[in-house]
Amino acid sequence: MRNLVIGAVLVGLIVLAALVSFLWTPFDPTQVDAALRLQGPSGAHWLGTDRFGRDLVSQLMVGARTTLYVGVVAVGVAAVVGTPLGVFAAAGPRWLGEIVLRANDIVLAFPALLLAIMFGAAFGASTLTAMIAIGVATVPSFARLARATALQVLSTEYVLAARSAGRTGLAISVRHVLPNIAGLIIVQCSVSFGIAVLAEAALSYLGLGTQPPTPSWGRMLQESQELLAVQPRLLIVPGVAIAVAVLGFTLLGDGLRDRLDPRLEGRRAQG
Amino acid sequence: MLKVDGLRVAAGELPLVSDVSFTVGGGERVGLIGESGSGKSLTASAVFGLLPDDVTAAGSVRLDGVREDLVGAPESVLSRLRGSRLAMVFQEPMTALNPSMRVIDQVAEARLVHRAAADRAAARRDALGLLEQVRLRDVAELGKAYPHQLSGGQRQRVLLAIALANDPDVLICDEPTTALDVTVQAQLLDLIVNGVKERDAALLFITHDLAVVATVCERVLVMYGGRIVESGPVDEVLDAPKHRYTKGLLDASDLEAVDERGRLHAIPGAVPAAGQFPSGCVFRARCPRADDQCGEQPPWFGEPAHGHACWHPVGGEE
Repeated sequence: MRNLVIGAVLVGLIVLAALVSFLWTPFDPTQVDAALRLQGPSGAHWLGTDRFGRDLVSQLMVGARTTLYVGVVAVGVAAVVGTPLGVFAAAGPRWLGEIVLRANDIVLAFPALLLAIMFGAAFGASTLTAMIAIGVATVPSFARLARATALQVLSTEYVLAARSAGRTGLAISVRHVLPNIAGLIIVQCSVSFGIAVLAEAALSYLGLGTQPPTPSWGRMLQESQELLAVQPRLLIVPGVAIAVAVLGFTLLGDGLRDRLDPRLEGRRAQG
Repeated sequence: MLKVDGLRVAAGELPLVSDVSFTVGGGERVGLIGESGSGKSLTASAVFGLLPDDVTAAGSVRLDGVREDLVGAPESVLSRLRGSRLAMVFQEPMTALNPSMRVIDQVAEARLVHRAAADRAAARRDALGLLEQVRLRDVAELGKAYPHQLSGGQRQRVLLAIALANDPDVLICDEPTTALDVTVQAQLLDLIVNGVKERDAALLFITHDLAVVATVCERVLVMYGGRIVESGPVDEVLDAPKHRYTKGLLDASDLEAVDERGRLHAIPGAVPAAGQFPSGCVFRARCPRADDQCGEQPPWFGEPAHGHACWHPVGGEE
């Protein structure tokens, strides 16, 4: 329960920052002003400015948008593609399931970063390319989880009961399997969200993700690299933001698991 | 109504059920008894065409009014019959209901699957009626509950309501009361018998509890080692068993009788694993009366519906 609350608060903070940034930011996050370079925290610039004189708070707020956008699309792609694939691999004909599994292994064996670089080369480096690459790389983890849990559900007596009541394949997958694995899939979404945020930061750091001038936490890190020794603040601010996002989504996932895992359901009702 | 003829079930080369034949008429209540591992549940699964992937059935299972043989019938034919003309109540009420679905929806679904109800609202109304039929109280409230909020007895009633939802012609109950308290058992047995009587359905009641067979059934089949070893009217089989195995089973369930050392009667040895049964009479390895003749498979003595497969029946020449 505590995990859920802390996670929700941290995630809520990021969502709030992103939403407010549409209406208001202290300064224009892309406005360059040589006179304001590398200023420390002050009344006007709460977290100071970077080496181009841009306001850090404003960049952080608009960067939160990018972070959420990336997470939603990447996790959305992974869940929407991976979950049905996994259920199908479990419930469908055995040979087709095998093919899905082998294809899954191939994608899984492929380094996600390499995939993103290939995507970037093929479609041009952008936030969207990064998101889709991260999403595709995350599909196997959803497919695996969905298959493993679907197999568990398919071997239960209530699925046998549903079959003995005349239900057939697809209906059983939709009515009985999906609702019973949904909890774990949601948990996986939340955890993957954290991983996607981190991956986007890494890709942007390498210049393969979000392109200037759109603010992104990963790029803020990259730009501060050379000033690490003189201005550690520039590194700490986006670093902390990324850590908070990952921690928030992971805690949220943990808390959700406690609430959504059907295997814990009975215990909670009794306790 | 249901006619099983020469049913064989095997896992690859390993025979699990051999040459099982019986019929259950409309309105007839037949018990299928035997120890764990005797092939009772497999027989039921074979009738439903719900055997595990690597287990195959041969022989014939016919249902009145269906042209195809149910053994080897395509899934499309079987799934139309399951839940409408054939229904099953499972042993474990804890696991036979979907934990993430409201009770009422699970009962309503039984009506919807076979299009017995016009729409979801009508199916829900039917479901409430069915839950009342199995004498559950406050069905409107109870229907909104999830399975984990119900007691074992309530869940088993819900399962019975689902099984009876489409007025099946054949109801198979696979040890439905084994997981329940004794007090709840009697009520559920009553409901099963009434439900079957009202519909003039055939009942195949699988159990290892002889007392339950005596209350519920009119006829009984005794299974051991994947074969039917004795059959007949309940009174006669339970009062005067012919097959040595039936005799052993009855002696073992008599908690008053003890041997000279004051111990309860038991059948010596244990049920062998599948494939480990002796050739000839399947019971001969544990039978006190076995001799050389038992090395040969005993034929069926008597009528198909009342007879036994034993070379040395109880009450015969000693």
